[in-house]
Parts: sequence; structure tokens; C-alpha cells
Amino acid sequence: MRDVAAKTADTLTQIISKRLADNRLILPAMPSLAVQCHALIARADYSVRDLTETIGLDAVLAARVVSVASSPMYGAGLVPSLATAVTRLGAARLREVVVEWSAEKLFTSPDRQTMAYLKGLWVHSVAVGMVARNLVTLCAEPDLIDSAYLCGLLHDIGKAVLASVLLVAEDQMSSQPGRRWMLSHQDWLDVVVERHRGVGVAVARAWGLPDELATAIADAAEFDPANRRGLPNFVRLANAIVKLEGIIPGPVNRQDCETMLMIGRSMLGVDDAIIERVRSQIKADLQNIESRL
Amino acid sequence: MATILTVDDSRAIRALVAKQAQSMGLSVEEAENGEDGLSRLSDIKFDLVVLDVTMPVLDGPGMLKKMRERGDQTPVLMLTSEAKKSIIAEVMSLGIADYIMKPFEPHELLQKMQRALKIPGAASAVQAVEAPRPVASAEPAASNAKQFVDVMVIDDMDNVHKRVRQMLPEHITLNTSTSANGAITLCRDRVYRLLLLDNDIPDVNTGTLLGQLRLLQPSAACVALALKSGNDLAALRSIGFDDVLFKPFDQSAVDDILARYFDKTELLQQHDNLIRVSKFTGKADKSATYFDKVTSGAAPLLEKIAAGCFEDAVLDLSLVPDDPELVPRAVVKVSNAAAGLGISLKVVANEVNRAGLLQFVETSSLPLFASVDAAKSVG
Repeated sequence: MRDVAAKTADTLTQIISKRLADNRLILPAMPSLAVQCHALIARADYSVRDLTETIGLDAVLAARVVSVASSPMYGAGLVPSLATAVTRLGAARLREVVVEWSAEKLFTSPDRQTMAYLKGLWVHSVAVGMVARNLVTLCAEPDLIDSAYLCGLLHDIGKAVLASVLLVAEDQMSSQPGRRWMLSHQDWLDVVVERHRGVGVAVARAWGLPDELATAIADAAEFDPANRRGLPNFVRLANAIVKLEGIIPGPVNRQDCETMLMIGRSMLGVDDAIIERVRSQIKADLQNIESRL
Repeated sequence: MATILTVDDSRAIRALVAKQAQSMGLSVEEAENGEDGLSRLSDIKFDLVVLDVTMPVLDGPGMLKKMRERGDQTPVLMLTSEAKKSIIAEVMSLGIADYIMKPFEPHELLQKMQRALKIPGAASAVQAVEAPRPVASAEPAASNAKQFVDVMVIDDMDNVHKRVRQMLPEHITLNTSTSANGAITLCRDRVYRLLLLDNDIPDVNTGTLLGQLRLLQPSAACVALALKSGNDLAALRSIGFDDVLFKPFDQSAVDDILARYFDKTELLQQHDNLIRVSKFTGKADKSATYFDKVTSGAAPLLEKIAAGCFEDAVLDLSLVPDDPELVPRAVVKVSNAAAGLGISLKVVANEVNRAGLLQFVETSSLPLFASVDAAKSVG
């Protein structure tokens, strides 16, 4: 049975790789509403009224925007209207909220075990986004601050997409759709972890997200010495820090993370006090993250 | 005296490591490859090895492996351009004290050598560091002393900056920024006592920016600049502000803020080996008391500087009043205290006070400078 599972995992891996290479992998599209919002925000003189009307078309997104604008982090007191929330957040933060809303939809699954994994993965992703933003702030790289959160948030988006793709593929190969039988959870996890990067890069490109995000997704395993203080390196270090705090579903390769931390500290010129500051901030932020789920 | 061994096939790197080590009072031996390094280790007991990875004959990991195999647990600091995870993981499994990637800033090498040798004073304060520059640079080492500034105003309206400047006493130093990015950039190289932040800058999330500023300036007080209508102190405190200054500004409100955040001002501020003396704001007949406080306050700060392994201290008297007698007397006392701790003293003063110091035998031989940067650029 183990051999069958291993062979099935190999087959699925090959199918996905081939579809990616042939550009035939069906990727989730960014919700059309998000595309419209992005187009509006991209204009230097965007109309608050138009943006408010567009966001208002989706009750969940509208509620998210108002909730974020009303939170202590982004303003003083409850926001009385969506228009006020849009004004208060501003373009950069609105873009983040819209992408975050779009991405969170991908971290769901009808399968209970998969859903538990994706929920943990979402918490991990938000934590990496927050740590990446704190690192660039503490390292005084103001030009990177706006993008740091999104790059960290989406660095593992391929795993969420691949999780769904695998379920669908498994269903298609099974005579009993809806019943997981070919892959054990560990086999499934191995395929997801091994193959997610290509899928993540494809999603980033399909969604028109910045190139540096695709770079951060494509190779999170090694730092890039040619672009030492580039955003992808900050995301790599943030990822290692968050994993060492145990904020990741599944087992953690501590030696791997300690090595990334050792290299990242020097690569980015980050001293131990900054690392400590960031680590203690994660604990404070974690409650916030989990309360938003 | 601690001895270190620098192992690198680059003579320039060995020279740089030697220079840093000697500045800490360490003695240094050199080796140009792993075999040579092992041979030196057989002859002499070292306290630290600074080791490159890629070298001919025997590379760094090879040398480290042989060291550990023969039971040599000398701490090793890897100094290398190698960033591949597998290689660094290998040397970490053999046990290294730390890792520095080339090119590197000299202060990173200094801090990590201090830490590996367990020398007190290894910097642990949060610093926003500059991007690394090539080691072999023809430029003179730039001062990396952080500038102390009293207040920063962050508001998109220039007239707010002007108004605040008009309402602050002359001796309070002020920076301004009309943007979030500008404010963060200023925070990189300066230490502020008070940040005045508009809570309604277009396209800026006040709470987020406030959080970022607090990360960069952990000891600064943050005061909101806000319109009275629709804002109250409790609500602003809930998003992280310490206080509020309502617009339009009232002089008494500005004075209250200053009294709250500057009355506790210490006369002396120390950062690295710099002691900055605040301006005298009292009456003329109190100046002797002021200078007494300078000399008594300097002593514990000089001890901290000596403990930080600095060879000299810089006493910044740019803001003290002109006094041809009290200034030299104070400087003599501070200089004697420094000498007692084995550190030399450099003095920064205006032209009048420098002339006064040159008149006294006890102070005429002291290095005198017109600015902190000038003092720090002289080794």
C-alpha cells in the first residue's frame, strides 16, 4: 500500500509539473472584484466614491475594510462608513486588504484534514508578512515597507492552490469521488511542499503581482547574495524566524531554520537585538492574527 | 592578552581582521590556507579563529573538521562570501561561534569578535544598519555616530512645521518631514527624544506609521498632532500615542508638552563613545552648578565607554555656554577621569571655547575639534 501511495504521489507530481510547464494548469483567478479594485487604486487620482461603490459590491470585503480601518492599529475609534474607511486606509493598505481577502479564499478546503492544514498555513503566512514588514522597518528600508507584508503573506500561496489541485486530481483518479484514499496525509503534504513553488509563481504572475513577490516564492530556500537587502531576502529571513517560533503546520526542520537565521543576520545586517524585537512582536501579534480567523 | 588567528587567502582581509583585532588590544597571527592554519594551531593556543571558507590547499570546512576531530574547540567565526545553506549548515554542525558574510561592515566584525571572545560591551542595542559596502574601499570611513535631535515633526503641511519651530525654544533641535517615508529615513541615522505625528496624513495609516516609528525609536515619546473635533486623548492613546497636541497650537499647550518630556532631560547623553552635553538654559549665576553636573555626570558615562572597549571618548561641548574659565576646569576633570580609566579624551567645542582650552596647560594638548564628525574621523 505504501508503494502504491508513493507511486501515486510521483504520478501526481509529474502531472502537475507537466501542466505547469505547458501552461495548462488551471489556476484560481483573482476575484474580478479585486481586479476592479486594483485598477481603481492604481490610478494616482483614484476616486474614493468609485472605490467605495466597488468594494461595497461584496459585503464580506466591505466588512473587512471597515473592520481593518476601525481596528486600533489603523485609526481612532469605529469608522462610521465604508467611505471613511477607504479614506482612512489609503491606497497602499487598501491594496493589501484586497489581496489578503482574495488570497484567504484560497486557504480553504472541503476536506477536513486539508482545511486544518490550510488554516495553520494561513496563520503562518500572515505572521511571515508581519515579520517581513517589521524587519524592513527596523532596517530602515522605507521603500520596501509597502510590499513587504504582501510578499510575506503570499510566499506559500502555491501550497494552498496545490492542495486544491491535488484534491481534484485525486477525485478524478478515484472511483469514489470525495473520498481520500490514495495519498496519506503525509504523502499529500510531501507533494505539496515539494511542488508548490512553481504553482505559487504561476499564481503571482496570473494575478499581476510584483516580480519581487514571484522571486520570493520561486526560491525561498536560499538567500540571494546578489541582492542582499532585497525584499525576497527579508521574506526568507522572516520565514525562518516564524518557523522557529513554531508558527507553521507540520514538522519544522530546525537546523535548516537556524542556518537561514545565521546567514540572514549577516546578509541583511540585522543584529540580535532586532531579531529579539521581532520575535517578541510575533507573540503580541499572534493573538491578533488568530482572532481574525 | 587574547590572541586570534585569521585564516584567509586574501591578504587584504587578513590585514583588515588584524586591524580590527589590534584596535581591541588583541594580538593576531595569520595563515593563508587551512593547512597553514592547522599548523599554527598546533604551535599556539588561540582564543578565536576567524576563518574563510574558500581557500586553496585546504578550505575552511576542511580545516574546521580536522580541528574538531583532534578535539580543538577553539571558537570559530566564519568570514566568507559563501551563502549556500548546505555549506553553512555543514560548518554550523561542526560548531561555529558566528558567521559574517563578505563584504561586511567593520563594526559587524568588531561586534562579533567581541561576542565570540565574551568581551563586555558587544553592542546589543537596536541599530538600523546601512547596507554593506565593499571592504576594500578607497573612501575614508564615514562617521557612523548617530545624531541626537530633540524633536521630529511629521506633518504633510509645511506651515505646521514652521509654526512648531516658532513655538519651540531656540535650543530645541528640530527635524521635519512631510511624508512617512521621509520620517522613517530620518529615524535611521538619528535618535529622537520626541516625535510629533499628524494623525491625518493623506494615504498614511497613522497606526501603522506609529508602530514603525516606535520600532525605530523605542525611547522617543510619540505625541499626536490632531484637530480637537473628533479626537480625544483616550482614543489616541488606544492607538499608541503617549499624548496629544491639538491644532491650532496653543503656546501653553506646547510648553506643557515640553515640560512633560524635556524636564526629565538628562544633562548628558551617551551613545557609543560620544558624550553629548545639553545646552545650559538657566540663569548666568547657575552656570557653575551646570558645569559641576557635567563633570560629575561624565564619570559614570566614561566607565561605560571604557567597558565598551573604546580607546577614546568624545566630549561634545558644542552647546555649552562660552566660559574661558569654567569650560577648561570641567574639561580637566573629565580628562583626568578618562585617563584614570585608560581612555583618551577628544573635545568638541565652538571656536571661543577651543581658544579658551588652548590657554590652559592642562587642556592645550587635548585633541580639539569643531564637530563630532571631525572628532570621530580621526583614529
